[in-house]
Amino acid sequence: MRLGSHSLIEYDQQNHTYSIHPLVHHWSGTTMKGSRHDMQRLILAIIAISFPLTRTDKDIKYRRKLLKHTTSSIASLKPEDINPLVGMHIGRIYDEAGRLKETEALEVMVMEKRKRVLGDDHPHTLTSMDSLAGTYFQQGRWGEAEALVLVVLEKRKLVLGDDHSDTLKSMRNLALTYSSQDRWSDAEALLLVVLEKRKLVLGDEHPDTLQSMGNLALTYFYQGRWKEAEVLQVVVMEKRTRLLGEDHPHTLISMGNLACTYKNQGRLDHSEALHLVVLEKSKRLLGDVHPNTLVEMGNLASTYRKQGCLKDAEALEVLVLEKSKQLLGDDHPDTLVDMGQLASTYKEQGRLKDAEALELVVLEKWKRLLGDDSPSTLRIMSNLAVTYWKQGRYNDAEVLQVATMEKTKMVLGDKHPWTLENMANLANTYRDQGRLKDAEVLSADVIEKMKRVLGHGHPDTLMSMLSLAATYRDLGRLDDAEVLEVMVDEHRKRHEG
Amino acid sequence: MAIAQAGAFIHCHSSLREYRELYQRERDNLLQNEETQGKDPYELAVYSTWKLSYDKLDPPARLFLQICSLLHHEGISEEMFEKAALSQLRLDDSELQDKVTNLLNQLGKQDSDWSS
Repeated sequence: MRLGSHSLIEYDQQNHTYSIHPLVHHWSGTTMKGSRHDMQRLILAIIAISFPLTRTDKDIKYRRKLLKHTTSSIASLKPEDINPLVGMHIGRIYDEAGRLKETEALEVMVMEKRKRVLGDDHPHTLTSMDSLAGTYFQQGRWGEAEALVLVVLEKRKLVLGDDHSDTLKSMRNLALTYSSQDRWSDAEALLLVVLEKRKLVLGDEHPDTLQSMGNLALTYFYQGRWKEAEVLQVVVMEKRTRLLGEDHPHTLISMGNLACTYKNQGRLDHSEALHLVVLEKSKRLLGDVHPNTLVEMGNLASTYRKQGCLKDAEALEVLVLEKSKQLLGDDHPDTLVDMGQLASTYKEQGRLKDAEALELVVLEKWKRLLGDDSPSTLRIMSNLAVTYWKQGRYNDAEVLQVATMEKTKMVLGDKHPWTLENMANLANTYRDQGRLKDAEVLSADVIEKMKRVLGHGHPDTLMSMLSLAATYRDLGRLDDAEVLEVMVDEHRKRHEG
Repeated sequence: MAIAQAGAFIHCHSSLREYRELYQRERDNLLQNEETQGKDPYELAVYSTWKLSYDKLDPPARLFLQICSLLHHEGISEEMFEKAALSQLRLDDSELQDKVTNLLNQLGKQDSDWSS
């Protein structure tokens, strides 16, 4: 006797899947003789052993289909009812779906059982600690991630030696936690070591080698070294596209990162085109509310803002912020970044009160999360100062900009793009305060540095030249002003042509 | 739902009269069953046709239906069971592993195509 012939169950010939009417689905549960709880454990185990933990495109697509079944069958099971190996596999399903709370609960359970049964130093125990650290990291809980990674790294060095691939993985993880806490040069130093060793042992095209390259590129990016970042990012993107396929999540991440570099280089059309491709693919492959999709939407929005498409930018940013709050919480770093971005769009729209209110909140949160002198804190201080300036509160702007300038020079160095941007803003404030000599000196200094760091034709460089021209006009030096304005005009025409 | 249900059953396995008799008997059984007391007659009719079909199923098919009741009601793939059956992974809990193997074996005993 066959099932389909009774309409108890429908078979979809095309997808090779079954579906049951919800009422029959519920009713058939009541026909079960044995314990429902035991059956749940078995089914969860079947789901878990049906895939390896590898991350090929196929694996990831397959696991995505398992999410709703996992959620159904895990229902009332407690973490302690679940076998560690099963927990590890099920954790991977939740992890890839961006469901980090569920992942964390499973990984804590796996780690504790491993410690109890196998001991603190067993490789399986260390692997489970590693996974949990990765989840803390994704949740923005960098302190907890770092502490766990350090323990694992020390043990691996001792047990496996300095060059073992697992030891290198721990070093790379440590670098990521440094990088996220804005300690970029520490991260860079570690990643350079990891990259060299991986190239030597695994070759230039191994996924782990490409991953270290991508990570290293990001530390360049954060340090404002965009040319270096771009060179590495292009290599990683091309190799991943060829080796993993263009739909693989890692390929998408490298494309999205490159698009951000283009944006900061002022190459907005390139940036927009690439962001659009990544966003479309992320929505299709990961869904609308996946953390990666949200990051990509936020990045596209900031490209729109720089292009002057403020309505589009705002619509996207409001959406992203709402979803990030839901998915990650009000104090997650990604949420803070989203809030700061929306504030920038408000500012461009002339909604200065809204921008100020949002920036004050974000500033407080960054201070609490990373301290008073972290680059993220300084960045939002610099943005808030611009809001004051636009409101005509020149003295408030000046105080904040001077304080920020001292600190950014100390923390990021005097050639970092953020330092330069803040200095350029301060020059504007001086001009509007009537301190024309101070404005002129500062502008000239900034323009020289921007030409070297960002390039002659970069939008920020051109903007600073126009600002100096305005100062010249205020000084009555109309010829000098005109020379500068003509130069900017020519640059822009050349760029458009 | 109930109509499609009865239709499929009659078509394959009984003459219409036989079906009526079966159905009546099943309905009387259900009326005496405590769990179904207090349900309205239409609901009872639906349950009894499901029960009729269910009783005619062979054990692997029944088992499959029960497993499905713990999964999401849509998009249940054969692939998952096949992959689990072919998996090289062994659970460190041998009792659990045996039960899983046993369950997959029971499922495998039925016709390869459950739908035709």
